[in-house]
Amino acid sequence: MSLTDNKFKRLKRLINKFYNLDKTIILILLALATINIFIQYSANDKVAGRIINDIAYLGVSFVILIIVANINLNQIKNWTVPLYIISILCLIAVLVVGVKINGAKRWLNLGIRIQPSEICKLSVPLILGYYYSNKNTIVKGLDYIYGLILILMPFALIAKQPDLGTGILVLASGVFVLFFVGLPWRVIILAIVTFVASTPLIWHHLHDYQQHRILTLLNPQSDPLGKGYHIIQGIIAIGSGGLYGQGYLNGTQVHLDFIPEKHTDFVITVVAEEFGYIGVCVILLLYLALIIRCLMIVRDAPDVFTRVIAASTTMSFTLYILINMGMVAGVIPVVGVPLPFISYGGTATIILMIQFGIMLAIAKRNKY
Amino acid sequence: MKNSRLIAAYSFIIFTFVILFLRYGYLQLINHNQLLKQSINNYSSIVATQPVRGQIVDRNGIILADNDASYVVAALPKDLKGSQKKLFESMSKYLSITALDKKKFYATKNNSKNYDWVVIKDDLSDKEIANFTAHAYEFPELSVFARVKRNYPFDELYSHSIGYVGRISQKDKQKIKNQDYVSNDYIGKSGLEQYYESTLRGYLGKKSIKTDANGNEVGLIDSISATDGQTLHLTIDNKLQKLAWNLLGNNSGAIVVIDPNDGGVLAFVSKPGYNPNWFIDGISLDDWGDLMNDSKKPLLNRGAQGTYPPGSTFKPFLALTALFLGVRTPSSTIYDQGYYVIPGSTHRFRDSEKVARGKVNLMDAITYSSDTYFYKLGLDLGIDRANNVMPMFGFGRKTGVDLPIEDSGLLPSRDWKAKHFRDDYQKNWQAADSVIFGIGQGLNHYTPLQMAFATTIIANEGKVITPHFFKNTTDKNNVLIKSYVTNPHMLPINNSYFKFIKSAMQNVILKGTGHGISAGLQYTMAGKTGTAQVVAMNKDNRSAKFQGKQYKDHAWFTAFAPVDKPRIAIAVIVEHGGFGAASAAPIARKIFDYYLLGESAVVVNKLNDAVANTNDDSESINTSQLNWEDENESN
Repeated sequence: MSLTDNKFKRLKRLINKFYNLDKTIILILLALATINIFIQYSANDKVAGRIINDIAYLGVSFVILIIVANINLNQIKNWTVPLYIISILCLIAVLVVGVKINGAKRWLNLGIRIQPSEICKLSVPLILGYYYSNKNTIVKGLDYIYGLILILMPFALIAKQPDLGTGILVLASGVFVLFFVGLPWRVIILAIVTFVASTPLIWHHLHDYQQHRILTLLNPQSDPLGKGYHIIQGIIAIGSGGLYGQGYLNGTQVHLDFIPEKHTDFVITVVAEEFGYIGVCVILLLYLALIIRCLMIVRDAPDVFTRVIAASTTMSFTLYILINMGMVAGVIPVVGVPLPFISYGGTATIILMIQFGIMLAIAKRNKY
Repeated sequence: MKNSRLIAAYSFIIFTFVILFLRYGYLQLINHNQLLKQSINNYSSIVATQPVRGQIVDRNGIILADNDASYVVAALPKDLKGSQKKLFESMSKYLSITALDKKKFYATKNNSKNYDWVVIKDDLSDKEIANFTAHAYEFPELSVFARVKRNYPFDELYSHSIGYVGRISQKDKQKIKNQDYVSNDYIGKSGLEQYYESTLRGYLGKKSIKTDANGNEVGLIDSISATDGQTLHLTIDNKLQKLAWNLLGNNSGAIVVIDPNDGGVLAFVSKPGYNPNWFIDGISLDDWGDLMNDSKKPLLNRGAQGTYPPGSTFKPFLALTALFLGVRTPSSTIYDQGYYVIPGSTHRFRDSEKVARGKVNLMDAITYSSDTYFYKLGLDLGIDRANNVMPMFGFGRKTGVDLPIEDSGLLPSRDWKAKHFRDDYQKNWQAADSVIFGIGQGLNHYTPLQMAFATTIIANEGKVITPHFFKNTTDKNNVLIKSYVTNPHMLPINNSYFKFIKSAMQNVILKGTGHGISAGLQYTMAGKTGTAQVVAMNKDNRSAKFQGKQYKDHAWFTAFAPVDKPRIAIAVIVEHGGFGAASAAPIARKIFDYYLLGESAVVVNKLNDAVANTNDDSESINTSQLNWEDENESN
């Protein structure tokens, strides 16, 4: 066997690593990434440096996607505990030496700035999946309590930063696992009733700005230039797009600075204003297709760990979409959550790709 | 995994997508129009572009009101976020900011829109411009630029005719009900600037601009350019105006010169005046106080609003009225014994000249200004008949001149007296009132403009032409837009009566009370002297207390020339000038010389002044004394 043959084989194996993956998910992710680049080009007002940075993030996250997709699931299982411990340590580190921006300590500066709370979106469902998959018996009451503790530790640390948005997503990602391993309905209903009953208490403990966000959601016009400004301007941008939109790069709300954070949390306004309802529908349908494919993977998942992780990831993904698009359209309070795959690249995108990498790994096991 | 869990998961997913599809559909399809409107509102602002105000020029094109570049420091209200007190403090290192500047700034800022420049300091000197622009980086919110500002190059010369422009006030805005002004705009506040506001102003242009959320202009949506104002050409002759102004010297008074052929005002002097340039951006309180408290009343428009008893200048009009009504014929005579006694009473109304002229006819009565003749005429005519006829000459009526304010004077009547007096005796029109009316004293008083206008009616032998300043308007390229069209009418008075009065007035100059100015006259001239009493003197106040100049009577002179084909008519009043023949008539002569003969004639005539002034053939002021005696007797 010649040297070139050898090389050729290795290349073929590399290509196979890609070809063995679930093509539906890969194609949808590529479609979303393409849309991301076009939308970010507009949302960043054609600033080259920022676009290159975004594309680099996408490239890196796709590489990570492929790598993770090819990792043995058992290997992943082995990493869950260290990953969880690392994420908790990072969260503690954030509280001690974190970078403070706009009154919130959310970031660690390790050469590049990372957001440890994002890692928890990954580590929390993984540790829970790992914990419950090792149970041979039916999951009992005490197991739920342990699970809850595993969820609440990072949640409390994240809420302390404060970052309620990410905290809720982390909380939800863990609760989804509990739900799928069989948390009894009566407990769920009891929890919901308790939550509603304790609303006044929670309200009392919310930060002023969080209270404001909820209040302004209920009536944005009460403070049109202050807290209600983001919501009002977002709604104007969405509505002015109409069915077909103002045309690519022509959105006035977006390009004349009426929309804050238009490249991150409010990125859907760019789509809505420039491509109209049609653009929004394309994105929603891509998301829906992705979710349906994920549900198929959940259905065919071989064991508890994979099934629970896949299901939790799918639900979390749906929740990101609901919170982000619901927030911008004024049906949910303003919480800082990026729109998956469309918002400007960052830790969130990398974590998202790792989650879908695990999803692809599960799909590969399913042998489609 | 139990099915119920998956069903719950599916439900959540369906719920999410239904909510989002519906919500975005609602906003983008159903609420689209309304939200699009809000979006357009967000980014578009309308900015006004200023028209250039039309110039005002005299009949020969000399500029009387112009627009000059003035350098200002200004800011847009949207950029003024910090403390303005601090801003003023740091600015005053480089330029002086007075309390008045601050006051004006706050006043305009408070009713300015975001895109109207608000001036902080105007009329920067060259030094201030250099100083400030060198440190402009300290004031990113401020701009220095040239702005067009009204300028009146002749200062006080036209203060009472052209008037001035000033900052638009809330009151102005309510009055004009016109949205065509921006908050810091100029508007004509007085005089012709006010009367011809719409002609001079032009129309605002509108620029629709695209702005970002911070209010920065990022593009132009569309624009309608401003229509500049028209150039207003006046009938005024600047050289004549200057001459008239100078001829009044230090006296207060007024001179109105009208071309009887078309009613065009050739000169309109009211002295003292004020500098209209002070008013453009708001006058300082000190300056305003000085003008208000000046005993010479510089703010009073003596030409169109100052009213004076016409004195003997009223006599030609009484004579015309008497001829018209058949109360007198040209040949009828009376016996002048130096005074007049109302039949059945004993009081003597004395002639101011204290001479008995014997038999006097109407011609001589005017020529020599016989009071006795006109005492009797006043009584014979009666106030009611005078009221029927004399308004035809403009007495007691506004002339209709193109100024925003003019006084109609007062032609007294029984009604007027009944309304304005409480005393039972004074309420009623007395025979003595008619006698005094006959020599133009007593209650009646008119503006110099009215007297000049009435004089043009005699000059024109009954043709009435409304006096006016407007000659025509032209656009920027000097293309004629609108010319003044006269709308004359004839009085129903026999032409021969006018001819008679004209020759009587010519006699005044040739041999009568005005002959002091006739030396070397190169054209025919008709005129009438007069005296307007200032205080009713009696035996007591004739003492030293009333000897000062301020108690001297006002001197009148009305005239026109040439007699047959008049080209110029005039009314001159010199306050406290004493006798009309002495102070007012020589002024008229010089103006006529200049207008009819040219500039050189005025110089030549200066040599004759000395001669003319020695022949002071004047009326005296006994009428006032008579008033007092009259009152004494009646009480």
